[in-house]
Amino acid sequence: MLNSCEDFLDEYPPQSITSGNFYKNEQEMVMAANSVYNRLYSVWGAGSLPYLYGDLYGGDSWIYLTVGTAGDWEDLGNNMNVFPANGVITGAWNNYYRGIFLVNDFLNELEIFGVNNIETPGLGERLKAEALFVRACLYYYLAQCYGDVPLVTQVLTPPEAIDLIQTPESEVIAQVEEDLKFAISNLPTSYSGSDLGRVTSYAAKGMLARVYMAYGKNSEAQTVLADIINSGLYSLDSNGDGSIDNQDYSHVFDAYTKNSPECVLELQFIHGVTGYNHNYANSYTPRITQFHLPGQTDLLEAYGNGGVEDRLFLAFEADDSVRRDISAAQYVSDLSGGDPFFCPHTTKYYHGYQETFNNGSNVPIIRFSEILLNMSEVTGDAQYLNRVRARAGLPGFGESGYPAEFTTLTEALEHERRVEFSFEFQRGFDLKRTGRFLEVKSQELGKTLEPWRIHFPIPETVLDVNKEMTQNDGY
Amino acid sequence: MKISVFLFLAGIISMYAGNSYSQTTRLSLDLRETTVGEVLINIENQSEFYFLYSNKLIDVNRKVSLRVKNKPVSNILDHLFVDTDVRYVVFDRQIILSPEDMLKKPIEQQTAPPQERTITGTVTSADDGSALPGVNVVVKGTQVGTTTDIDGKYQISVSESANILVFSFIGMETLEIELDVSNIIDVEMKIEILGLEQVVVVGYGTMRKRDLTGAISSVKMEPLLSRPMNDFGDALQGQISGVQVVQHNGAPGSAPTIQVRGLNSITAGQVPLLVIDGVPMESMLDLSTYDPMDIESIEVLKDASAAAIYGSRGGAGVILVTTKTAKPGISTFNVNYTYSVQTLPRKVPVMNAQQYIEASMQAAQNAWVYHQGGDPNAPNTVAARGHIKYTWPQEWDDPNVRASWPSSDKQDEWYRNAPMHKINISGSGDTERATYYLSASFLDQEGMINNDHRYRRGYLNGKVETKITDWFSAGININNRLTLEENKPVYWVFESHSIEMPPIFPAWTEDGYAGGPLTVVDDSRYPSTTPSLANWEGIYFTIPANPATWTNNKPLTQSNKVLGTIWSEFTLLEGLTFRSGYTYDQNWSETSTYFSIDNNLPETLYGRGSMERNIGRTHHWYFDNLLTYKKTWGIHSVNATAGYVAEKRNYLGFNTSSRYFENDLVPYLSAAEEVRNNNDSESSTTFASYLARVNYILKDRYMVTGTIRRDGSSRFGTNYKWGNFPSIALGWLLSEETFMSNIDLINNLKLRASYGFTGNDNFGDYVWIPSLSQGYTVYGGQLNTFYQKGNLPNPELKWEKTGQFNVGFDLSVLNNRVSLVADYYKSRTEDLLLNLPISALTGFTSLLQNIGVVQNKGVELNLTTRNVVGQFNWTTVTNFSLNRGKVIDLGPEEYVQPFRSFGGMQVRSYLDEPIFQYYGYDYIGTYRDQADIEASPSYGGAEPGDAKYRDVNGDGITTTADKTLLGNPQPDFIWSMSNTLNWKGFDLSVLLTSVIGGDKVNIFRRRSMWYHKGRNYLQVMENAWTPENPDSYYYKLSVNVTSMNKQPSSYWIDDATYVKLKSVTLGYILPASMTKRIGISSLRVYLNGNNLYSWDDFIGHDPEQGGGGEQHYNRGITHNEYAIPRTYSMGINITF
Repeated sequence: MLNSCEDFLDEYPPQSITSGNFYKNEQEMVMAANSVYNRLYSVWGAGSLPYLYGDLYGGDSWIYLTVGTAGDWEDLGNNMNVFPANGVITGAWNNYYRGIFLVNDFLNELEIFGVNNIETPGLGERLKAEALFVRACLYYYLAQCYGDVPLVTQVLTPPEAIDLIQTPESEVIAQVEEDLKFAISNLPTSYSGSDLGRVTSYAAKGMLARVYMAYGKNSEAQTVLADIINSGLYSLDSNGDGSIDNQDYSHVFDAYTKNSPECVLELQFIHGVTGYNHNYANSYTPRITQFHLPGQTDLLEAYGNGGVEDRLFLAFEADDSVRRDISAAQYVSDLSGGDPFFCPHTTKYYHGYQETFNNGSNVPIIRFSEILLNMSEVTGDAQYLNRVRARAGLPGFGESGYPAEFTTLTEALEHERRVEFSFEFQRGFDLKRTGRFLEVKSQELGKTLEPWRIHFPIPETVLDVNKEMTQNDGY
Repeated sequence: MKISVFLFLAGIISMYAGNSYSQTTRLSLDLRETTVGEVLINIENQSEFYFLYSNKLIDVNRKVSLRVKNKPVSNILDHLFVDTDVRYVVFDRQIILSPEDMLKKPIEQQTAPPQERTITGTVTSADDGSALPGVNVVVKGTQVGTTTDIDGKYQISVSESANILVFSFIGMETLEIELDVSNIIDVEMKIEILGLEQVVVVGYGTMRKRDLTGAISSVKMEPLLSRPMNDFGDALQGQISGVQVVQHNGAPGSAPTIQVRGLNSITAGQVPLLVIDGVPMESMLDLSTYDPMDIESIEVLKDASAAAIYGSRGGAGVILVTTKTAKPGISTFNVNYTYSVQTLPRKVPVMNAQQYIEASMQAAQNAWVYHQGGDPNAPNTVAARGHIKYTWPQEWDDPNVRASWPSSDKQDEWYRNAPMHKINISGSGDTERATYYLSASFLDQEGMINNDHRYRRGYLNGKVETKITDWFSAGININNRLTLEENKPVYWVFESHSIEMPPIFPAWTEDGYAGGPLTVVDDSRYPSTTPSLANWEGIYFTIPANPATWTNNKPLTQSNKVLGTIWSEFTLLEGLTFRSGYTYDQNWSETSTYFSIDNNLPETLYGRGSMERNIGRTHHWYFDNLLTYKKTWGIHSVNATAGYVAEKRNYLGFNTSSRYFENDLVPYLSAAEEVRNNNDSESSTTFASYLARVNYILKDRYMVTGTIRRDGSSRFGTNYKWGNFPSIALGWLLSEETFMSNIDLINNLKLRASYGFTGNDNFGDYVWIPSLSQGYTVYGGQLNTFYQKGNLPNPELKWEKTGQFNVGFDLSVLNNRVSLVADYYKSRTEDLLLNLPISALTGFTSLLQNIGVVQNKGVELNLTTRNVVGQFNWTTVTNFSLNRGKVIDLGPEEYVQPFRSFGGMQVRSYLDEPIFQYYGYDYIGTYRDQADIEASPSYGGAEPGDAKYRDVNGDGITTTADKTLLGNPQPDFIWSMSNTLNWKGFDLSVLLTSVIGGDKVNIFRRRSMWYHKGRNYLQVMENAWTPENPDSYYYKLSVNVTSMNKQPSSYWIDDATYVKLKSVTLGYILPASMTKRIGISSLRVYLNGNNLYSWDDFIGHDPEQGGGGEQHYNRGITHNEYAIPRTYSMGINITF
C-alpha cells in the first residue's frame, strides 16, 4: 500500500520539461542558447537600463502621466531624484542579474555537455561567443549606471551570493572587454537566411567601441570602428535604393525594411499576434486614451513612459523636419474633430506601420550612423559626421548654413547625436562620456545636480540581502 | 374522553392492527378460585399483553378456575368470559375488555373508512408555566403538523394510526409524547440544557457534546436563515468566538473571508479547510456549494487537538458543514421565500462640481506658485505660465459659470436599489427502511451596480439513505449548483470611477453618449467653450473612465458544480462499523467577455471589438474508508476511529481571445478577424492519509482523546512527502463528581486541555520540481524555441507545522440560565513556508524555504445568558475573541517583504511584531510655510503645504531611513452580541458585530487626496492646506505633486474599528387556527434588515470592505471592492 502511495503522490507538471531531462544533445543545446538571445530584448527593452539612463534620466524623455505608482518614473525622469527604493531601478537590476544568471547557467551547461561534443564545426564556440556577448552588454550597462557592481561569472547558490560585494568598475569593464574580444574572434562577420539577425563579429566590435570610448580608450576604439567602416558591409542607404537621402532615415525604423545595411545590430521582431513583437509603441507614448496617432486607426491606450520634452523640438534645426517628425511629434488627432491634441511623443517605434500594436518592426541598437559619429569623435575628423548630416539633407560641420551656435566638433557631435539618436538609449551615456552630464542636466532641470547623481543608487532590496555591499555615494 | 368513544376507536383500530403477537404468543395458566382481575394480572406478567377495562363495567372480582397449556390468549379469554356479556378486542399487545352492547356499534361499522380524532392541548414552559406559542407539533412519521397559537394552544387532527406527537421549539428540548386514550395532551417543555447530549460533528465521526475534549464550536443554521446570505459562510458572522468572518466584498456570490484564531503563516495561504459532509473542498469559494437553507449545522474545529485529524490541512482551522437530512420520524414539506432590496449603505464623500472646480484651480495655482515659483497674478494662459497644466479653462474665471456648472454625482448614477428573490423548497421523509431529503432552490439577484448586473443561482439536491439489513446500510447524495452571472461589472471601472470621475462631466450627454471632455461639445448644459477642456492636462481623465463606455460589453459567467457521494456502512460486530465512501465532484466554469465596438461614444471613437473566453474545470475524487468502534461497558466507554483516505484534484484551464470585429452582431470568437492568444494549463495534486482517533471516557467524567494523522502530499519533494500530526486532549466533567453534586448553583462544569500538531500545505503545485520555461526568440525572420531555467526549486520543502496548546472550560450556572465557554490557546508555527528574499545575483530574488517561527496566543469567550424565560423569552449571546500574534524567528532576516506592495505601501513582517506590518513614512501634517520647512526635518524640494513626515531616526532630514512601521490589519479584539426575544408568536433578533483596533490601508485616500490625472477629490480636501489655512492636516493640492507627497505613509491609513448593527429580524408565526384552514401547519413571516448601520471613522462605503480573497496578506487593504449592500428583506416560511 505504501509503495503504491508513493507513486500516487508523484505528480509532475504535465506541460513543462524538467531540467534533469534536458541539455542532452546538440539540438537541445541550441534551444538553450536561444534563451540567451532572448535576453537581448531585456538588455535594451522598455524599462531596461539603456532606456532608463540613456533616455529617461539623461535624455529628453518626459513622463507625462503614468500608470505607475508612487512617482518612481517621475522621480527618474522629471525630477532626477532617485530613491534607493525606486521600483524601476530595482526591477532593472534584478532583470540584469537574471540575464547574467541565464548566461552563466548556459555556459555551465555547455561546459558539462562539452563544447567539443557539439558536432557542427565551430558551433560550440559560436554559442559560447553569443552568450559572452550578451553578458558583456549586461555588465557594460550595469557599470555605466551603477558604477561598481558585483561581477558574477558563474552560477551561484543563494549562500554563495549573499556575501558578495561590488567589484571595482575597472575590473568589471576588463571582463566586458575580454568577453567581447572572445565574441569578436568566434562570431562570423555576417549571417543570412534563417540566421539573419544574429550577433556578428561587427556587432561585437560596435559594442566594444562603445565600451572603449566610455572608458577613454579612443585609439583602441578607432581600430575596431575602422574595421567596421572598412568592411564595406554597412552604409547609410537604409532602403537600399542606391541613393543616400533623408528618406533613408525613416526606413531605419520601418517595419518593412529590416536588417538594412544601416544596421550593425538590431533587435529582431515579427509582427502579429502569433509573432514576437515589442511594446515600445505602448511604452513610448504618454498615458492617454481614446486617441489615435496620425494616419492610424487604432485607438491608443499607452503606458506613458515617454513623452517628449519641449527642448527636443527646439534642438532640431529648422530644415531637419524629416528627423524631427519621426523623433518627436507634438500633436495627435482629437477624435471629436476639434483641435489637434497637444501630446508630444516619439513615433520611432511604429513609424511607417499601419498598426500600433503587435508591432513587428525591428529595434535598431547599433546603427552605422553611430559608427560614423563615433569615428568622428575618436579621430576629430568631421567627415564622418558630415556623411550623417548629408543624409539628413543638412549642411556639414564647417560648411555654410551650419548652425553657428555649435562652434567646436565636440559641440557639433553632441548636437548631432541628440537629434539623430533620440529615444535610442544614447544621450545619457553620451553626456556621461563627454563629462557634460551634470552641467547639461542641471541646466535642463533648473537645479544643481550633485556629482554623485551620475550613478543610480544600489537598490534598497539588494542591500537588504547583500548586507556587505555599500550604497553608492550620496544616496 | 368517553370510554365509548375510546372503545369505538379501539374497535376500528383492531381491524387494522396486526394480530401477530396475540396469535403467536402461547400462554399456560393453572389457577384455582382466582378473581378475574388476578387472572388478567397473571397474563400481563407472563406476556407483554396489557388489559384496558373499566371496573364499573367489568366484574373483575368474579372467581374462576382456569387450566390451559400453550394456548393463544384468545383461547384463554374465550374461556374466561364464557357465558358473560364481556367481549374483548386485541390490538397488538393491548386487550380491551368491554360489555358486548358497547362493542356492537363499532363492530357493525367495521367496514367504514379510518376516522380521525382531534387532539388539543396547551404547551407551557416548565420554568414558569407560561404558554409557549409557535411550538411545532407534528405526528411522528407524517407530514401532519401544526403550531401552537399565542396562548400556547394547539389543535391537531390525527389519524387513528398515529401514536406519537413530537413537540419542538428552538431552545427547548424536543418532546415525544405517546398517544393514549386521552384526546387532551398538555405538555411542559424544558429549556434545552445547552445540548450536552447534542451530537456534534467532529472530523470523521460524531461525539456527544459532553464527551468533547477539544475546542469545537457548533452553529445551528435554523435560527440564522432569516438573514440574507451569499453563502452559509456568512452565517458564522458573529456566532462563534475565535472566528472572524469578514464580508469584504458585496458582489453577489462572493465568499467571505474566514479566519480561525490568529494568522500563523506569512507566505503560504491561510485558509481554513472546508469539509462538507466529510468531503474536503478546494477553497472557500466552495462555501456556495449548498444553499444555506439546506445546511443543518456548521462546526468549527478551532484547536489543534480537534483539527489534527485533518493533519497537513488543519493548520488554519477546519470548518465542518453538515447538510440536512430527514428528521427521524418526521416527514415535512417546506417552502421558504424571501424578497430583498439591496441599497448602497452610504456614499463616499467626494466633491461636487463647484468644489471640484475650485480645487482644480487651486491645484494649478499652487503648482504654479510653489513648484514653479511663478507670479501668483500671472494671467491664466499657457503663454504666461509656460505650460497648460498651470492654467485652467478660461470660462472658470467667471464665478457665475462656476456656480452654474452642472454637477453630476456618479455614485447616484452607478448604484441602484436592486431586488433579490430567493426561494427554497424542500421535502424530507423517514420511512421504515429509508430516509430522503430533496430540495431545490433558486436565487435571482440583481447587482447594486447599475449595469444590468444580474446573478442567478440554482440548486438541486437529493439525499437518500437506506437501511438494507440490520447490518448494512447505504446512501447516495447528489448536489448540483448552477450559477449564471450576467454583466458582472469590472470593479475598477464602476467602483473606482463612480467615485473618481470628475463631477463636472455628466454620466450621459444629451445625445446619449458617455459623458466626458470630448462628448460634451454639443451639450447645451455646458458652456460652448467646453471642448477646450479636452486640451487641458488637468482634466486628462478622459472618456473610458466613464463606466457608460463599458455598459455595452457583455461579460457572462456560468459555472456548474456537481457533487456526488455514494457510501455504504457495515456493522461488523456490535459497536464496530466500517464505512466506505467515494465522492466525485466536478467544477466547471466559463467566462466570456465581449468588448463591444459601440462603446456609447460617437462613431469616431468606436473601438474595434474583442472577446475573451476562459474555461476551467476541476475534477476531484475523494475516497474514504473508516472503521469505527463504539462500546460502553461498566464505567468504561470507548469511541475509536481509524481510516485511510486518498484524494486527487486535477485542474485544466483554457483561455483564448480574439479581436477586430466587423460589428457587434455576433459576439463569438470565430466572428473576429484575428486570434489573439490561446493558452491552456493543467495541474494535479494528490493526497493520501492514514488517521486514527481514540476517545476514552471513564465514569462518564474523565475523558482522553488521542489522534494521529499521517499525511502524504504531491506538493512536496520526494523525501519530504509524508508528515505526522499527533494530538492529545483531556477533559474532566467536574460537575459529575459527587463533591460537586451539592453545589446547586453549578449545573455543568467541564475542564479541557489539549495539545496537538497541524500543518499547512497552502502553496502552489510543483514548486519543488526544477522545471524549464519555454519561449521564443526571433532571428532569420522566424520564431525559434528556447528553454531556460524557469525556477529555483527547493526539493527540501516540507510542511509548515503548528503546535498548539489549548485550555478551557464549559460552565453553566443558575439553572442553566448563564453559560460560559472560555478558551485560552497558544500556538507556535515552525518551518514557515517563507518566500525569502535571496540575493538577486543568483538570478532569482526569492526562494520558498522552511524558515521562521510565528507565535499566536489568545482568549475566546462565549457567554450565553437567558435573561428572561417564560412566555417572554430573551436570550443574549456574546462572543469575545482576542488574539496576539508575533513573528519570533525569520532565520537570517530581520524582516520579510513577502508580497507586492499596494501603491508603494509595502506589507512587511518583522521580528517580534505581528505579521503584515504596513511600512512607510509616518505622516504628521504639513509644512505651514517656508520657515517651517527650514526649521523642521525636511527633504529636498519640499514646498509649503507639502507632507511632513516624522523624523524617525532623528538625523534632521527626511530620508528613506525614516520609513517605519505604520500598523497592521490585526484587530485588538473582536466581539459580537446577538439578542433574541420571543413573545407569543413574535420573534426578534438583533446582531451587533464589531472589530476594535487594527489599521486599514485605504487606497481611495491615496488616489483621491492628491492630484491624480484630474480625478475627483475626497471632500475632506476642501480643508487642504492653503496659505490662508496653513495648519491643515491635509497637504496642498498641486498638479505637480512632489514625489515625497506620493510616498506611502500613514496618511493613507484609516482606523479599522467599527461597531455594526449587522442584522435585525422581526418574525411572526401566524396562529395555527388561521393557517390550518388553508392546509398549512406552520406559517412564519418576517422582516429583516442586514448591514443596517455602522459606527466608524472609515472613508468608504463600508468599514468591512477590502482585504478579501485567499491572499491573506491583502488583509486590511481596501480599494474598489464591490460595495457591501444594506439589505431589507421580507420573507415567509411555510411548512405543510
